[in-house]
Amino acid sequence: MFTFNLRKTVVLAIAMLVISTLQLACSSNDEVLPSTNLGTACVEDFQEGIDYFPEKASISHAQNFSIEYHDYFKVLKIPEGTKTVYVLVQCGAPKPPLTGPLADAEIIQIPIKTIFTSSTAQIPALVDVERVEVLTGHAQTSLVVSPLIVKRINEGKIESFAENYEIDIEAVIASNPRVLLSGGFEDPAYPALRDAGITVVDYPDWLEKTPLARAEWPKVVAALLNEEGVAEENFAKIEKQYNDIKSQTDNIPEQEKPTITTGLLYGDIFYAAGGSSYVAFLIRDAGGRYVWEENNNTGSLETDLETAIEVGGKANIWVNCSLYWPTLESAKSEDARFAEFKSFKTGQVWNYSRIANKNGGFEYFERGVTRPDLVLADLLKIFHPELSKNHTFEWYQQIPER
Amino acid sequence: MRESTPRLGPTGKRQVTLFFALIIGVIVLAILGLTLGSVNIPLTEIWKISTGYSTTNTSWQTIVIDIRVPRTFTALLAGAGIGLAGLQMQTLFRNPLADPFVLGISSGASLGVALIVLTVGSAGAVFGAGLGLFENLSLAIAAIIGSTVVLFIVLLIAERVRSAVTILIVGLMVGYLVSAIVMLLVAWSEPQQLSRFVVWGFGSFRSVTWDELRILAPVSLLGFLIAGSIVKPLNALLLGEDYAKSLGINIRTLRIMTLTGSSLLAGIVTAFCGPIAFIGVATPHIARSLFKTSDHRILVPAVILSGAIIAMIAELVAQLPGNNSVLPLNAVTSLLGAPVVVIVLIRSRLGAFTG
Repeated sequence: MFTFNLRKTVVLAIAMLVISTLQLACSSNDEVLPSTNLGTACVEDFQEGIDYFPEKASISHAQNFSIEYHDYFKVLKIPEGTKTVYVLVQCGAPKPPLTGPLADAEIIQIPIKTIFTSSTAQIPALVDVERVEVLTGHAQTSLVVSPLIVKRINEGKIESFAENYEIDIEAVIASNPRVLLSGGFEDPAYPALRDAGITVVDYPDWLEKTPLARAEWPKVVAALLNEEGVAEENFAKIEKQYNDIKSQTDNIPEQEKPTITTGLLYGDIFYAAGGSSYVAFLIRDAGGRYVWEENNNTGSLETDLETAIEVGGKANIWVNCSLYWPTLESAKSEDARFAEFKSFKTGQVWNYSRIANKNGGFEYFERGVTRPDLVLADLLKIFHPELSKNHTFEWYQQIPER
Repeated sequence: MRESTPRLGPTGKRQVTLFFALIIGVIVLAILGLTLGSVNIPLTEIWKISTGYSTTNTSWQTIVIDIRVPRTFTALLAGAGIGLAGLQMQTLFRNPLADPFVLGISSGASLGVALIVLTVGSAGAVFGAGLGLFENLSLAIAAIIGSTVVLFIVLLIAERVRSAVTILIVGLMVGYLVSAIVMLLVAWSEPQQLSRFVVWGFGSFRSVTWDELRILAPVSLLGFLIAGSIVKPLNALLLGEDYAKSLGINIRTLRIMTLTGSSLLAGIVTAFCGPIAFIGVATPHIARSLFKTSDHRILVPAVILSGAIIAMIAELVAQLPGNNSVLPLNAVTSLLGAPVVVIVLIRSRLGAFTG
């Protein structure tokens, strides 16, 4: 242990020596070592051997992306994406030698100045690092709820490029954003956009199993903007608040935890969150017992109404029900058999529909993924109101009887 | 016309045996419908629940009484109703391909449903307007009105044009027109409303609850009665309209009776279960081949029984025993049924239609 530390110290000392020599060399040019990333600017006088990214992202939860730092470029890897390796080069620095696995990499000069987003859940990544000015297009602007972004949409600063689900290729090319964040699926329009020089960056945050891992994806956007410093700070706060709430429920005996179901009926099929999905994680961490726990699906699970009544019907609380139930009465008029659910009889039916716009855009979809701490706080208040007296609901609301 | 043999010949004996087999088939399938499902409920419990004894497990009670019983009844009524409507159409138009769907009646029902689902603003607006409790009912009424309007148009033309083939073509064209309006409505609708319409379009016996059965059952029975009351003139019609006239049959009344009966059946079933493919056109062929006759006194009960059997088998297969997901009903009816019909027709050397 000691010898290891010693070696590390020696290495550090040598590194510092090298740096100070460099600094001496620089000082003749009146340049100082950067202490922050260049959020908007380019390097004016590039020097080999300077770390241009003193603020780095460190990934502790997410499994589906990685960022590797070099002096003047970063390597962003998204293994499940269509394009798996991106090299982000500091503006003003030369093109790095790309060999081996990097030979096929797509090069993006950073910090980028324009970006298009495909899902509202990607927007907070820009809002939270206070760089909304780079957002110039969004797939369906009618579904955006965030007032700051809605204002910019109304001012014509953000265009809608797929209002009817189909990407308007010509409009995107005309606007020419540097990067388009995809929804995680390849779209028939993407090859044409790539040919036009627009880099499509995959953003499959939904592949992550845990809520905190999903909340780490804004660091990808931060890397494109050189805003890792703020992003790290934000995530650390979210992580701490999440774990604080979770630790409150750790000591609750299992039998005192309410049983929870999720789900909605679409046609003949009842869809609920899978037993290993991030929703199941949230329910467990908020001190609930998820009735579909035995299921191993990381996404949703499909079953029929019979099984839904047998398993979900016994749950004390129903969260994440259909978004289109203004009242329990309306739900029963859709299918009278919902009345047989225990949660219906006690009125314990909840959804994250509290804040919505007139076009059916829900704020939960926009901010819920990046703020699992707030979702967890809402769930804690539903499951254990006695533990959460000071919290006011962010997105969840109880569905009224009539 | 009338077989006045007091003793049964070989064909008659065969038909009696077949009827017994079909009735037993219906009973067995109904019992299977009550016992098979994604949740395993012991037979003794199902017996207790269905004979009115209370059970300790209330969710089982709900599953049997509110899910399995209505589902089985619906399959039985819908299969019989659509099959019977198909038989009447085929005889009236003397065309083996006729069924309520060819005539545009089901497209009319679709239009009714589409108008309600796609144009009444958002789902919230529907509830806000106080339609909530009766939403399913309003869908049903709209569907029946839609099918009746289309039928009325076809009838009006049928008054002027005597040729059965022309009426068939007119029915097809009206169907296309109505479908085009539905497509336009779909193109202008919101995704949320569209999803409800799409779900309805899958076709399903499971979405029908007791409240809806209270309408579906009596209307279907009325349709069965109308069909039963016109078996003899329908037999005469098989030999041609002129021959039927010479027997003193009022062709106009017969046409109206047949079209009313079959549109009632097709409209009510389509309203509650969505468009059900295949059963309407295929069941009459299967019944004719099985019973080797085109006598409606035999065919009407035979189609009722075999339509019910086909629908109940399709429903059982759709729920995929051993898995708790559900297949789209129309995929099952067509996948299982189409090969069966081809085999049946080939075996009977295509002579089946006119018997």
